[in-house]
Amino acid sequence: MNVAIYIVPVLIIAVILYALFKKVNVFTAFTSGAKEALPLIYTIFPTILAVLIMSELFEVSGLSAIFIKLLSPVLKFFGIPTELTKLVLLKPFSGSGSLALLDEIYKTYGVNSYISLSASAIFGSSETTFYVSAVYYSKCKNKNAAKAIIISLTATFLGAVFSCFICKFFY
Amino acid sequence: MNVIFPLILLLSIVFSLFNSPTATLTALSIGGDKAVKLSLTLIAVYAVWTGIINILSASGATEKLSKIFEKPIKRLFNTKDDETAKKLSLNVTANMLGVSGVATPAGIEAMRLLDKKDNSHGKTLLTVISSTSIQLLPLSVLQLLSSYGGDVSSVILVSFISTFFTTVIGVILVKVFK
Repeated sequence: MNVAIYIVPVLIIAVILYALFKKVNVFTAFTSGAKEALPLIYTIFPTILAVLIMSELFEVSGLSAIFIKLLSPVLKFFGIPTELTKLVLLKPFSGSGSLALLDEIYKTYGVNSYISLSASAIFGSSETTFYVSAVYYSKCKNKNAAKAIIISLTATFLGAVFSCFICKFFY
Repeated sequence: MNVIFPLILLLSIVFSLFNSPTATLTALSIGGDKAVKLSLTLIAVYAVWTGIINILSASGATEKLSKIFEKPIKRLFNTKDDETAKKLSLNVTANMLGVSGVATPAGIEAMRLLDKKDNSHGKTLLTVISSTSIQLLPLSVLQLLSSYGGDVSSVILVSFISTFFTTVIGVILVKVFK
């Protein structure tokens, strides 16, 4: 099981060695890559802000509790814990927004809980469907993405169900 | 999001008028505060990984790896065109490694080429593969998790299994509803 902890360090060693072999200026490449993080945050900060305000208001108004109560029989049927309802629903719409929710989940339930593990798996198992299809179809003449979107959403939902199931064995 | 955001905001604020009218203002400032804190954490998370990923891009490893996938991808997408296969393969490989700066332009170009040939099956397939995520290591999740002292190894494992499962289901669905 613990082979996994070696993956990241070994990967970094491999990347650096290969770059040296290819005579890449490793320091320059690293710093110019790291520089991209600030514009990236600059772009996603408004979304994170919007989602966190939305989530906070949704919570304090008591709507969240009602909403989850209504949806929980359905999600329970599929084995998805109610704590993950918002994440599952938001993921196809907003990547940075759901990263904000993931962060909330880590803080609320603790990083080593079943909820956090399932949340990480759900977050990693799909991309922002609506964003991906909009970008990919942007240069096409035939822009009908309906089929791709429906299939992606179905697969994403089944993936979430599956994630919650397998996390029971790894928790 | 242009539907969800105003809808939830309106409903929540109207609702809290009855419950506790002061809650709205508190929620706004707590939300803002949380957003600033998370963004600061994310600057560190992203800077580290965009840095390392850029070493990988600069060494041309993505292009090299993508050669290996060209043949199976040709078969999967039902295309005979070499240029299309090259772009498709580059997109898939870069997405697996998390090099989105390479993946997205290659993906858009591949879509344009598929569109020209009227290969809507290929277009659906590529979109589904990308939106079910094929990133082998969820780097930003791992970094965020470890900044809170979380156990990274089980997350690596379950993420890999889940993302593999989701993509396989997606591909099967595309093939079934051809």
